[in-house]
Amino acid sequence: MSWVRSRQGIVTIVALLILVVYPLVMPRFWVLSIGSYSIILGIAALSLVFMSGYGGMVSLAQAALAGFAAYMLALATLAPSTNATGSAIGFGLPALAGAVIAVVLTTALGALFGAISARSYGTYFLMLTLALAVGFFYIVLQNYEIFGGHIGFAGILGPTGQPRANPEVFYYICLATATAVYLGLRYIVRSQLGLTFQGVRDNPRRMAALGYRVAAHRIALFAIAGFVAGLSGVLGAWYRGNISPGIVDLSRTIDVLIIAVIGGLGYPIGAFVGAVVFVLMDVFASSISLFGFSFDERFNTLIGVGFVVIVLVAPDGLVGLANRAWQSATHRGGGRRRAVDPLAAEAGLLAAPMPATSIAPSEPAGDGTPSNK
Amino acid sequence: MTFGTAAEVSAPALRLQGVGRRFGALQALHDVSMEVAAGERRAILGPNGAGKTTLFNVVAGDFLPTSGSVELFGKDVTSLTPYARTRLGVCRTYQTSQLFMGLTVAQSLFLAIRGVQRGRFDPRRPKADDPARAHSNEVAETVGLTSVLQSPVGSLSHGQQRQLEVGMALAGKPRLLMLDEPAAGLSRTERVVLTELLQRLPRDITVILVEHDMDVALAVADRVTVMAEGTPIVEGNPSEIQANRTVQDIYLGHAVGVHHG
Ligand SMILES: Nc1ncnc2c1ncn2[C@@H]1O[C@H](COP(=O)(O)OP(=O)(O)OP(=O)(O)O)[C@@H](O)[C@H]1O
Ligand SMILES: [Mg+2]
Repeated sequence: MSWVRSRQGIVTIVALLILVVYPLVMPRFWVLSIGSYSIILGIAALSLVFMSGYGGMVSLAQAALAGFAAYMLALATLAPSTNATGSAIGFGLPALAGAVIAVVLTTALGALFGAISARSYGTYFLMLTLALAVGFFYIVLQNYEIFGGHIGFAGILGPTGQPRANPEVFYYICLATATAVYLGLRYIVRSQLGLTFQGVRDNPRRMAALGYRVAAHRIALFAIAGFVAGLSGVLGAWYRGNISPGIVDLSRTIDVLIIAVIGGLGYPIGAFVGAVVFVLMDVFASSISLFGFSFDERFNTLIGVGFVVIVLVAPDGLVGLANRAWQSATHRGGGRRRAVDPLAAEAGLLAAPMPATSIAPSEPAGDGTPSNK
Repeated sequence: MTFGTAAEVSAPALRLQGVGRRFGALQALHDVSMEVAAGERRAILGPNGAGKTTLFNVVAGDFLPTSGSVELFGKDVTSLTPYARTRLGVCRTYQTSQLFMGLTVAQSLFLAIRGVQRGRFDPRRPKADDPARAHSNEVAETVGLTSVLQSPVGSLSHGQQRQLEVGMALAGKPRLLMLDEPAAGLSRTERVVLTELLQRLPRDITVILVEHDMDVALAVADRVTVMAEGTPIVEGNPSEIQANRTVQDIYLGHAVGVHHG
C-alpha cells in the first residue's frame, strides 16, 4: 500500500473524499446540474479517450452510441403509448432491467460500428464514425413510430424516480458508475486484451504478423467503448427525464470531442476534468446572458475560444498541463521528483498518462524499406 | 497442437511456384519458383530493388501475389491472411523495425508469445506465474535484452530495437523464421553476436535470411539464392555462389567493393 503515500495516492484519496462529501455540502443545483451532469458527460468522453488513447481510434460516434442507449432505455421502460405518437411500442420494464437491456444493445451496436470501421485508419476512420453518427441521427428523426420524431419521449424515470426528488442519491449513482468504469478500464489496460489494443494502436501490421486478427481486436475495443457510452446514455436519460433527437445531433458529437480535448486526449481522468470545465462554462455563459446576447451563442463562443486556447497552449489538455507544471515545479524544488516508475504510475489512479495521441493517428506503417547502402 | 502427417513433415517449409507481384507498371517479382527444405538455412542475396523484401511480404501474406502460388509446410496458403500464416508457424522481422513504441520490451515479447496461443482476448491481467512471462524472459535473455525488459521500446538504441525485432519473431515459436536484413545498422560487435545467435538456432526452425552483410549471411547459410530484377538467377551453396561469375558481376562485385573500401 505504499502508493497511498505517493503523490498519486494522496491526490486520489483527497479527490475521492471531495467527490463523496460534495453533495452533502453543496446546493441541489450544484449537485445535479453541475456534479451529476459533469460525471455523465465525463463518462461519454471517457469512452472516446479510452478508444483514442489505447486503440488509436478517434471515434466521433460515441455521442450517437450514448443517445442510442437513451432511446433503448426509453423504449424498454416507458409504458406502451406514452410516447408522443401514441404508438404502442414501450415495454414498461423496470428502470434497472431497461438499463441493462439498453447497455447490452449499445455494446452490440458499438461492435457493429466497429465491424463497419475496423479496417479504416486515421482520417478515414474519423470520417466513417462521423457518417455513422449522422446516419443514426437521421434514422432517429425519420422513424417516427419507433423514436417519436422530433418530440421524442418524456417521463423516463430512474431507479430512484426523478433525480430532482433525490439529488444526492442520483449523484452517488453517477459517481459509483463513473468510478467503476474508470477502475474497470484501468484494469483492462494491463490485461492481455488491453495490451492487444495498444499493440494495434502502435503497429497494426506487426500485430497481424504476430498472429492477431487486428480487425477483431478493434471491434472488441469499439464494443467496450460502446458499453461505456451506453452507461452515459442511460444516466443521461434518467437525468433529463426526456429525450429528443437533439441528444444525438452533431453538436453532441462535437461536445464529447471538445470535452476530451480540453481534459487531454491522452488521460482518462481528463475526460472528467474536461466535462467539469465544459459544464461550468455552460452555466457561466448563461449567467452573463444579461448583456443581450442569446444564451446559446454566448456559450458556443466561450467554449470555442476556450477550446482554441487549450489546443494552442496545452495540446495534451488541462491534465497534461497540470502534469507538466507539477513536474517542473518539483524539479526546481530539488531532488523530490521520482524517477519514472511504471508500477508506481500504474498503482496511482489519477493522472496516469498514456502515450500521446493526435486527432488523426497514423495509418499502419508501410515497409518503407529505405536502403541502408 | 499436432505436427501433421508424415507427408507434411517431409514437405518443404516453403515452395513458391511462378510467383509474380506487380505494383502498377512495376513488376517487382516475376516467375519466382523456389523450394526451401525444412530445417534449411537459406540466404537470399541481391542488389537493392531486387525484390527480396517483396518476396518476404508475399510469403508472409502482407501482399498477395499477382500470379503463382505459395505453399508453406505442404499447405497452399496463396490467399491466406497474414495472421493465419503466422499461426501456421511463419514469423518474420522487418527491414525497417515494426515495433510497439508505446509498450515496454516485456510487453512486446508477451504479445508476440500470446499471438500464437489461445486467449488472445483474455480480459484478465496475466498472473505472476503465467508461463508466457517466463517465456518472454527467456527470449529476452536469448537476444540480450534482459537488462531493458521494463524499458519503453521507444527508449531503446537502434541496435536493441533490431534485437527486439528478432526476439519478437522468435517468441512466436516459428517453424519458418524469415529475417529481413537483421544486421542493418548494427555495429561490428553486434553483428558477431547476431551471427552466433542465428548459428545456435535449433534445426527444427527453418531460416530464410535476407542480408547484405556477407560475413553474416555466409556464416549462417547452407544454401544461397541470388535474386536480381525480381527473379532468382542463381542458387547454390555458399562457396559455389562466391565462385560464380554472374553473381560476382551483378552483386558480389560491388558488395565486396563496398566492404573492402
Ligand atoms: N508497396 C510497394 N509499392 C510500390 N512499389 C514497391 C512496393 N514495395 C516494393 N516496391 C518496389 O518493388 C521493387 C522491389 O523492392 P524490394 O523492397 O522488394 O527490394 P529489395 O530487394 O528488398 O531491396 P533492398 O535491398 O533495398 O531492401 C522496388 O523497385 C520497389 O520500389
Ligand atoms: Mg528489402
